[in-house]
Amino acid sequence: MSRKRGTKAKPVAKANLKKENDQFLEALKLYEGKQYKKSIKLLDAILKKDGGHVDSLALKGLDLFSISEKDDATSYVANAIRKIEGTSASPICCHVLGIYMRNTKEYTESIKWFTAALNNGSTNKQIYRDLATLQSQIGDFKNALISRKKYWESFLGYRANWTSLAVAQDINGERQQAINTLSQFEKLAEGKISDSEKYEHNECLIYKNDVMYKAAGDIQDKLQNVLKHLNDIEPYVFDKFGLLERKASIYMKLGQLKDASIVYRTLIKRNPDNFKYYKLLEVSLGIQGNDKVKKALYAKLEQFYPRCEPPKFIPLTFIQGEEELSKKLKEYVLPQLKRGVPATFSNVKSLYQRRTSKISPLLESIVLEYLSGIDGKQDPIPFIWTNYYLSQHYLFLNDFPKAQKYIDAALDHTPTLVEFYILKARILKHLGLLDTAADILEEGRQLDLQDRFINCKTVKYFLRANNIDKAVEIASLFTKNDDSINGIKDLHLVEASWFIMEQAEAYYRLYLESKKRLDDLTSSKNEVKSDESEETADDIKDNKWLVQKYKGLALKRFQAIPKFYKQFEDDQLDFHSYCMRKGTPRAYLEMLEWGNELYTKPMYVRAMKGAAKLYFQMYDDHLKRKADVIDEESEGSENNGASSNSSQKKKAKKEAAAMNKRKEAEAKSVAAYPTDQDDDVFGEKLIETATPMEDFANCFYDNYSKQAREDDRDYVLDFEFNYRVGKLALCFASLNKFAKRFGSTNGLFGSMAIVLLHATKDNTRFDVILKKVVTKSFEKDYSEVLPLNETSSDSFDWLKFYQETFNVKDIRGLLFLYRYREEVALEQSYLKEAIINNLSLLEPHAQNEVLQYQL
Amino acid sequence: MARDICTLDNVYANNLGMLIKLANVTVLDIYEDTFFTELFAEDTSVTKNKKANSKKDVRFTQLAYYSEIQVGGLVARLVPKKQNELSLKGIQIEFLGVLPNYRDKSIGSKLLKFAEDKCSECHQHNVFVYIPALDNSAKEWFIAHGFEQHGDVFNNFIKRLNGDEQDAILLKKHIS
Repeated sequence: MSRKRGTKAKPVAKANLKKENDQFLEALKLYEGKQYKKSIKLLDAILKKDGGHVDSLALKGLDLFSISEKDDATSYVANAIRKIEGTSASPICCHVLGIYMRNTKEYTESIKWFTAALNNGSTNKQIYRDLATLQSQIGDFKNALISRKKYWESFLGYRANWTSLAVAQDINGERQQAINTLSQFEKLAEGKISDSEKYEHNECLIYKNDVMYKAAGDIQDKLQNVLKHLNDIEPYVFDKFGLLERKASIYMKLGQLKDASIVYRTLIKRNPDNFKYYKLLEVSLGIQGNDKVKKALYAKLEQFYPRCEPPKFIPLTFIQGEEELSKKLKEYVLPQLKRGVPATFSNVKSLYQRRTSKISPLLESIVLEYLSGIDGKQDPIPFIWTNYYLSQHYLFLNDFPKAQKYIDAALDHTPTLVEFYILKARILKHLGLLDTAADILEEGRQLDLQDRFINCKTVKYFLRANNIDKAVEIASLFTKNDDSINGIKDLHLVEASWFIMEQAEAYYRLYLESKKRLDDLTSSKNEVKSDESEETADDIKDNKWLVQKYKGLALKRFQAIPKFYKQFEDDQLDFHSYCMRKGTPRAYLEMLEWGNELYTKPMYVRAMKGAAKLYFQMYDDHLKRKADVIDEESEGSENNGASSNSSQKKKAKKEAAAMNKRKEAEAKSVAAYPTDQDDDVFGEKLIETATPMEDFANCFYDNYSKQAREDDRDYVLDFEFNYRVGKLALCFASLNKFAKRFGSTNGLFGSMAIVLLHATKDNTRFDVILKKVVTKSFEKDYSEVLPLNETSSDSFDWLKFYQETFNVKDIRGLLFLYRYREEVALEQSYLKEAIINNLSLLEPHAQNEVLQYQL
Repeated sequence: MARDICTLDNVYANNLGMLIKLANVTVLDIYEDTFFTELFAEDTSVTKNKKANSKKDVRFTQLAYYSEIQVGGLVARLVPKKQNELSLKGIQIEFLGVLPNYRDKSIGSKLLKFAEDKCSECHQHNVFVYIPALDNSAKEWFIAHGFEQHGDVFNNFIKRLNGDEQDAILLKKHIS
């Protein structure tokens, strides 16, 4: 084997070289046999003679990584790479580096080295398979296709390779080629499919039909072909639902509605509880707009399937006549109440949401009438569940007193039902009585300690009430607490994002509260300015730590969420080969789709927005600090002068020691990861960052921004981010898109526009050219909506303008302005007043939230 | 066979809270929480709460369910020896209660039957209960279920949590 050497290798005698080479190959074998330590021993012998032996350095790195000495591994690998010019190393060395990079999840690098191994003459065809997997993982499907093809050429005997090739072709839009590939293999395998391979075969057949269907578009001949193929493969396909659904949609596309309706009826027969089939049946029968025919249809279907929900329920969604609707509702709801179905309200909730004005008065009178006719003693079960229903009904209508009345009636009657406690707590939550709500749930939880649901609910409510200690204590009842005093570590391990999210938000609220308190303390101290205020000084120190702790922990928890999502993304890696081997291309493609919108999932977005508040604040503080850096310097020297006194120094030292002790103790109860994997338990390093916006982009925003679809992006977040990184043109773009979607009288539009207009003033920190661009754009698009000329005048009343022009009922717009009040020079008190005036439109819980944490 | 709408089941450490709730709702101000928590103090194993080996009293506990909802409870103690002249040996009912809205459904009878069965199992011949002398409805109920008054009124026998004291009568039923 010819091997290139690193440039620094000294010329050695040929015999020596050969010996070295043999030794290295021996070490490689040991590595493959997982005897890492022995392998390292051999490599050390080589390296002793020739410290610049790149292959050995790389392999030793990989060995070290495998025995989880990761830091040493990094330095060896870095050393090896330093000695290599570009990628001109031996193919084995490149391969080793590729494997190392894959292990450390640096996929792009890994691809680079795998490719280099092949370019430098490796004959190891397996590399193509690994390469294809990695390329699929980073979404480079074009090159993945090339790798798949190469691998397929070398190993034609495996079905997995044909399937992978077809999938790669499909993803790259080469549909016809994909079909050909699949057909070719079918021909080869004809008559040779064993029983154990039948499932894989069926998946590949229906997958081929998928590809054909996608390729056919709306072209009639092609669709006929797809249909024919579908009929041909029918006996071999196990997924009968998928097959029938496909068949129906082809008929629909072909305009053969009668045939389609027959298929849908078959589907309903197979599963009469699937609402989707009923809707599609309506479409295929062409009766969507015809209530009369629809009624007849569902009456008929109800006879066929008397025990099924959809035929009973669907008419409730379209019947207009009040009398008839009332009758139908009675027939639907009352039997459930009679039987004591707890979920009765949930069953009709979608009706409430879609037809509130029509449905809710009708159901209210029906159920009230029913309740008046039953006696709590004679029919306890219908009685309690009807009260439960009515409580939910009034809660839905935001009539809290009545909701409370009915749930209390139920609770008085039967105080042993956990559901009632949950609902009661929910009502109290809406009223903003978070502590009482948590206590009520705790009372309910005591009734049944093994109920995980109420356990989780109670935890959540305690977190909402900022009672983190109690919440953790309760949550820990259900976690594995082997080597820690509570369940925090386990909850991170099992990726319980709901808990971590709620805890993060609770920490954030506590941070805001303690910060407010600290501000109060410091301001009052400044007023007193005497030596007696030692107590306040201690108080301040205490509070400073609390502020820092809560802030750090909030960010730490928010950060934990994207870690999970990163893990989800990485978890896909195995499936690029696994799905092919198992022959499940359809599931594989579904997974890819899921992966493509992973970072737009609600939990991720929520964590991002939570973290954004902290990061944006940190960035704004940085700016402010820069602005009054001179003040601080003078203050700092003053402090130094004061503490030079030796006794004071001692005291400070003592205090620091006490603080460290306290921190150590607290660390045990808040640690989220094993000690050896986490050197920043309190998130102190996170909040000390000098580059908050970069951190935010790296950890949260970039991934989201890449995946978010244009039609459900959060333009306000985009705006706020780009505003801080100084990209005013992008801000304007977000503003524009926002206006297109929500209209230019929306309060948030007004606020963003006002902030952006002020950014274009001469004395702001933004780039001059960008300012000009934005000004021009404003002139072009919004000269009629916005008072562009007033930007430079100091006397213009922007708040008044805002209130006259935009929808002030949407409180979010005013709150946005409030956050940027310094930038747009608005008087805080007026703004506050305006917000408070509009608060009454919110429910009590939301009002509290605004008053406590946003003003 | 259709399931009976009313069923009995053991009390476990995990649903002890139900029993406490039921006791506090049906019989006010009598039981301290420790009375119940002690039932599971020694071990929280979910097997029987009979503690045959321990020196502590043997107690039998049950929860009654109506349509899967806990509506009644029973705590009974095995009294193997007479404690004084006036007392009895046998099974003492310490708590037996059903939520007011679920009465007259033979739920209490079921719980009582359970106590009586235990009585025979333990080779005892008396089931007895102390009730407030003034509580006529309770008295009627027990008498309707075959109890008889035993002895005179015990003055200030029942001590309530709020410090009040009440007279009590002893009712007993002989199990052959």
